[in-house]
Amino acid sequence: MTTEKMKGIGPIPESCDYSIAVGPQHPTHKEPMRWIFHVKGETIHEVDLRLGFNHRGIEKAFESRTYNQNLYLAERLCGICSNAHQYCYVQAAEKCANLYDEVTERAQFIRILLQELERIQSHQLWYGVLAHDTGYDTMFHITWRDREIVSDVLELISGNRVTYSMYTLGGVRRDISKEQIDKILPMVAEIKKRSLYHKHVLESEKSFVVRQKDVAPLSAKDALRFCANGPVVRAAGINNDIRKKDPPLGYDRIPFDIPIYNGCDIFDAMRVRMDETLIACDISTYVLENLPAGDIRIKFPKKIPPNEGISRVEAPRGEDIHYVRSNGTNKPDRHKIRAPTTGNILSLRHRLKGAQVADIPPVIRVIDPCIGCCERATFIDVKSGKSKTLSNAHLISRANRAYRLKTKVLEF
Amino acid sequence: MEVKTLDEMITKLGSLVSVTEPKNYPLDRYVDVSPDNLIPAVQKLKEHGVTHLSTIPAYECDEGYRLLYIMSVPVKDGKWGKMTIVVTLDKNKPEIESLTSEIPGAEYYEREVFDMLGITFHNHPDHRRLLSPDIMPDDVFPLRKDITYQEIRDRLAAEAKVRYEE
Amino acid sequence: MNCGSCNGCDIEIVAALTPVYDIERFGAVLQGTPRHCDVLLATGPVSRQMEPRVKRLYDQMPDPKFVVAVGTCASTGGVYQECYNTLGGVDKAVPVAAYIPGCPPRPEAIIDGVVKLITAARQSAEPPAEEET
Repeated sequence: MTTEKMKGIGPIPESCDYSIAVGPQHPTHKEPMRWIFHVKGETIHEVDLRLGFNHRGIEKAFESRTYNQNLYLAERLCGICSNAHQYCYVQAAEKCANLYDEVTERAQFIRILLQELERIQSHQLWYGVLAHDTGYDTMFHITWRDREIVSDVLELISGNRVTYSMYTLGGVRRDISKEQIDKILPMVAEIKKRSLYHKHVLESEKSFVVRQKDVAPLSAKDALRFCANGPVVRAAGINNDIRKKDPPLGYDRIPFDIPIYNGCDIFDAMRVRMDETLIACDISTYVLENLPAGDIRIKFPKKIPPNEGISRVEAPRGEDIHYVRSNGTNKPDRHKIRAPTTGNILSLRHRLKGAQVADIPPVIRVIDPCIGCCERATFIDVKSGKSKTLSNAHLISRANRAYRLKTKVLEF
Repeated sequence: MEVKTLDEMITKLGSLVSVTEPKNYPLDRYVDVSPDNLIPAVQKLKEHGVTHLSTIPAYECDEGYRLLYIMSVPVKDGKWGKMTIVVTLDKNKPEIESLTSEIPGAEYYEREVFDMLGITFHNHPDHRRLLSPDIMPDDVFPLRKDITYQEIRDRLAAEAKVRYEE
Repeated sequence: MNCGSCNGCDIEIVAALTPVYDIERFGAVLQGTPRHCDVLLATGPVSRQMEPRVKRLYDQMPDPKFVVAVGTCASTGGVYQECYNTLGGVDKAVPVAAYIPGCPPRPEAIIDGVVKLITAARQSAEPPAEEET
């Protein structure tokens, strides 16, 4: 297949799919994007990708269900940031019903608690997988073992480890009792202690750091041009955290900082996320110690008059935004979701141009892609026009080998 | 130069926009813009420090197709107000100029709008579908009101039968 | 293999590999290629784009082979009933040997399901299975 044929024109035709559909090393990151890299030697010239493997047609399904039923569909957009999607949806629906300001303080704080616990769980997942991607399997197992603590906390509060379904229109579904708070506080302290250990190890381990420092930087100017969101922009020196810029109710009353670094590379994006994990522990502790008394939900009408509402939430991956339009019935007229990763793909493609092949796994990992990453990547040599497809597993082991041999030039 | 509130920004946009009924929330404003005035309005916003386009929801209503450009305007106290530019297109002529010349980040959002509603964006660098499967027929745009999910499902099943059996 | 899922089941499968739940003590090992494995864990309602790939993967596995549908979506389509781009379950694309319901199923449930399958397979005199996800 020649470079002209593959050069980003049209979706990848079935006949070009040479790769054996190999499962990558871990199931979390499968088949979502199909990458095509045009390379010259070891440097990437052009990048194209095919989305749509995870496209289920959910936005159409939203229109045929009631607002209450959509709570559970909104959650299952993504399992890792399920909470953020539900949070965003209930806020947008509450704005449509003009009840956004009526949500009680206790409900606001419980919502924030869950969002921060999810942030901890998602970031620990992320840096464990980053360690795995760069060959540091020991830390993968350690961080995922320690992640079980925050899963236990979430299970204590909500009853489930992954899709918590705590939110409802007008508040939250379950309350947190005094006994639960007494049990959770020491667990959160333990999470913070272990996260500090992860931070210390991951930021000082030389062979791990060298894979990330000054690799594929994204300048502040490019981050703004491509409308990137999330921690990668905070690693470029710009504060874009929705919790400070367009905060959901309640965040204004909690004291916390936003970590900003200036390195623009993968290492600083990692540092941003590690600091956010620690700050999330602090916010959770503050919320648990200062939970206001009161009801946890208000009455919400079944039918919402014609209106529209936009809401944003800082999901672990970036800015999640939902738009809901009501039409007087009990079903929404339109519900649009923009997950954070969609906003980051353009900047990722820009970052990859000029990068080395050996750097591809951590560079794709840095935006924390929710729809996964290179399950299959096809490499096309610009000079000869020959192409070769590698699975994620091959890509990772090849990259690790290149760094171990201290050479960035390897035969395909 | 920064503005203090979203209403001040709307005043600066002047005759390019017309305000719809103000919503209750101070950080949410919606303005109507005609399709020809979209690019000048965005250029004006960029002069006041606006760079971030969050997304482009689009839907079909009685008046035609409506596109919403959700932009973040820095206002006082370090906050970002959401200025939503609403453009209504005629049902018989669903075309508009692409915003990628002003904001390169709009590329994927416009592709998704084309994929779901069939709106054409002139001068778009990469005008093809984003999410629909390879077997989606060219005349099916899923989020239009004239087609139900069952019909789309049936058509996809029919296409799959034809394509994958050969 | 993620056939269009929300990743919830996928996280629980990976959690089943971590030291706290540790599926490897039952003799199940993660493989990187379908040619070396016996069991395929599939999640998600199969999306139209994934449909030919699931079938191809299944064809590449050597006999004897088993497919386990992990999660409610992989079993019956789950919460995506009105979604146009889904087939509604892995058994609409390939034959399935075991179903593990749950949204998502806990890691213990996944281990239980896989172990039950391996035991049943052993009892019908099959060789011990290696697992691929």
